[in-house]
Amino acid sequence: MSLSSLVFVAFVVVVYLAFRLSPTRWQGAVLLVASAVFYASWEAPHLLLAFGLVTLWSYGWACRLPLVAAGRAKGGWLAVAIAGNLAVLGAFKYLPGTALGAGSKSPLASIGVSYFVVQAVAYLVDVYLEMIKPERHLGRFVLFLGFFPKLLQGPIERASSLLPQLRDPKPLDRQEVRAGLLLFLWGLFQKLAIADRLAPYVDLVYGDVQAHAGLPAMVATYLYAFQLYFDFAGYTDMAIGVGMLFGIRLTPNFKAPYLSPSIADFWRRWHISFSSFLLDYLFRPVQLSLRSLRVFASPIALFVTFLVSGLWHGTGLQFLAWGALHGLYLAAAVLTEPARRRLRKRLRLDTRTTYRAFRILVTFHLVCLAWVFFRSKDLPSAWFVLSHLGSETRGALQLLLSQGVSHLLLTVIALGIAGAAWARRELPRPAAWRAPGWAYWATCYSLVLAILMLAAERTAAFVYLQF
Amino acid sequence: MARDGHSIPQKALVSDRASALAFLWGCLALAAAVYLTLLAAGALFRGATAWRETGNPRERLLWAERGVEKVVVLGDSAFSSYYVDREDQTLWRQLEARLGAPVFPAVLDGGGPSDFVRSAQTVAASFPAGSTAFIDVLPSRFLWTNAPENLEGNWSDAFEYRLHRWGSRICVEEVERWMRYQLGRWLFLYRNNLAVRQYLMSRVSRPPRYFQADRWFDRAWTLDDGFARARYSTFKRMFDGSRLRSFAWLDEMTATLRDRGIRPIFVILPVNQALVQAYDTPEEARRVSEAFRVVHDAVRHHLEQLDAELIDIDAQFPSECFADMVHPNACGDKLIAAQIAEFVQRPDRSRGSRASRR
Repeated sequence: MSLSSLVFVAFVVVVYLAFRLSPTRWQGAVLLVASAVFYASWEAPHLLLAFGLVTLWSYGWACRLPLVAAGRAKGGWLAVAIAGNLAVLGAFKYLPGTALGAGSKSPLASIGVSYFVVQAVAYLVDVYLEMIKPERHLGRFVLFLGFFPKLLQGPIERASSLLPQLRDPKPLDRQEVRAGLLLFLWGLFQKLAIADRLAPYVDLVYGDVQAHAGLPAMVATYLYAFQLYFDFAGYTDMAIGVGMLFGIRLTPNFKAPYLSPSIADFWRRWHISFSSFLLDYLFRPVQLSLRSLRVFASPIALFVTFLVSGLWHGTGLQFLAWGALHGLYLAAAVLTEPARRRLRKRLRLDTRTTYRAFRILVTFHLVCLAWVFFRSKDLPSAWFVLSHLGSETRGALQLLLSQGVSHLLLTVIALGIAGAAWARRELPRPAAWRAPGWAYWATCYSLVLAILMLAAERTAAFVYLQF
Repeated sequence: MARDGHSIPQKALVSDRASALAFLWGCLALAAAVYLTLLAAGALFRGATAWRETGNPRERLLWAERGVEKVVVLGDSAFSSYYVDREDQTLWRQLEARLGAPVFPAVLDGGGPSDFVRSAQTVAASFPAGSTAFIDVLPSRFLWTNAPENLEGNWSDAFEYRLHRWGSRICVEEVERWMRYQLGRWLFLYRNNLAVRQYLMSRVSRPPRYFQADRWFDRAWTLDDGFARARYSTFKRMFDGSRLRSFAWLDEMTATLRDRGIRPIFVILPVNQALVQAYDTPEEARRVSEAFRVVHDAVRHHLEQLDAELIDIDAQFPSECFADMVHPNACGDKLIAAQIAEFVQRPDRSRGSRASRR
């Protein structure tokens, strides 16, 4: 069941009731059963098998690792534990058509696997480094990997953040529960009223790039940047909102990423839980192992990290190109930083607002350039889009009108609502919601009506489900 | 989940439960408020506005409610009357004039076999016994395309609000469809939001145009603007070498309508042979014509096996009454309406009769 479906809303109501009416010691079990039902609802038994394998494998190794004396042997056992998880990921995600992949060529055949495998790997490393103690309670560990709101596409939770919340549930915080519902509705609005409205324009162009070269492709790429953001941020807000209903705080994944003044900053604001995972568990070890290369250690480590990030998204060459491009951006930024710092100092640019705005604009365009690879169905299509950007300067208006005037107007209205909410910093920050009851319920009411009136006619699956 | 080290006081638990339930009551009140708002707004909108005037006549099945009509036109673009300049030239209006009875256009442009079946289910659910449904039968409909095809049909989302029958296997998607159906059944605004949005938008922007817009006007295929030729090329690309698809959906449609006491009459439409000969080499044209003849005979045979009434509009259909290879223009719609009316009014009409002979 998708998070944006009516069935999911009914499911959450039932789980919420069962959770709140259960004695505290049974509440974890309620969430555990709910998570199992949620994952089973995708009707892919091989996914449950993958989840079971990763869970039991990681649980067993995490309990064993502290018993091994520190040294090479312990590192070797960690490598075995990680390799087992990666083997499951490889079998279920990268070998479609195999028996384990259920013979399905659907991109959703491996739904959720990438996320819980990454989380399991991070957990094993944390246990190995003795940053956390292994979780001995199997049920709690299963819930840590498989808590249903975040199971399909994150946020990727750290054990140090989620396990204590599961071990020691907080008493009900009314404000938090209320904020959770509001955040869920806000996420639903972002997905149904914005992302799904932008999707037809993007699909039209990227479905047949040869017929939409030049300006239409450029416009579609900008629209894709926002479609992807609202789709993913919408999902994350819904997941965090549902988590809050059960007193569990999930990690925020986005912080206005398109306002980043640099690519490095972009990655501190975009898919935060995944980029921080890459930073801590991949970049730093690689950087450390390359330290003999001195100034080149960080750029090479960044490049490798982002290549792996591309591979995580898919085996297509377009994903590798996307990762490589971001790796190059960051490597170039690191190598040129001293010279740029001197220049900024000499020209006194650091304090100028216009310079910051210029940097935001450049960063946004660099990100959009990389999105061309990310969205294209293959590398030649991406190359076609980029090599024909200047070939046609008309057709953008026809593209925008292709779904009808009403579709365009409603998209603009939905974007306007999102812009106004963001500018007031109210909806995206539910912690600030200390408004009186009537104001809160009036906002929820307006949001539900806005969703009903502005939601796209056709809903699409969440983009990041395929990863 | 047990707390390690310390426990939550009983008083706090009671307060927790009360707060949680209070929140749930709030949610229920919110849902009720939204429901009542939609119900009231729907009733107001329905009664106080002329929203039907802005609805697309070619999607009427999705938004309009049946009036007094007992004659329905079902099908896809071939019966959609795209190539006419005014609504009074459409197939359904011409049929109305000839039959002297109101006709409901239940056609959906681009409908696939699944959409045909769902259209028949929608008609069966809302039209009374004794009604008559004319269904277009295009030979190309019975060929698999060489491009990926949505087997659920192109209108499956739209039908979600209109129809629900439990399938043989209940799954999450089925439950979702059922919930949407129930909402759509009770809430006018939820069910008809396409028409409502169209109406609202027509207040703030130009009213939508459904006739003589863009390439959709009364035209003959011989008009030298590349339109018909491009369509023929697309046809060749999509259908060349393709296989016959199953006819099971014809059986399902027929059974659905007959179960409800509605009389299905299939109208087999011709193909523009002159266009095929003009745009292809003699050898290729012969091959394409032969392929269509095979499909035509197979469909006709199948309909006869079903004991279905059919009108076979034959090859005498003048070439200038086509806008392209298969779609009729205003002249074509007039001819089709005339042949249908002639069939209906013929006192000795027999099953499997042909409107005219080859």
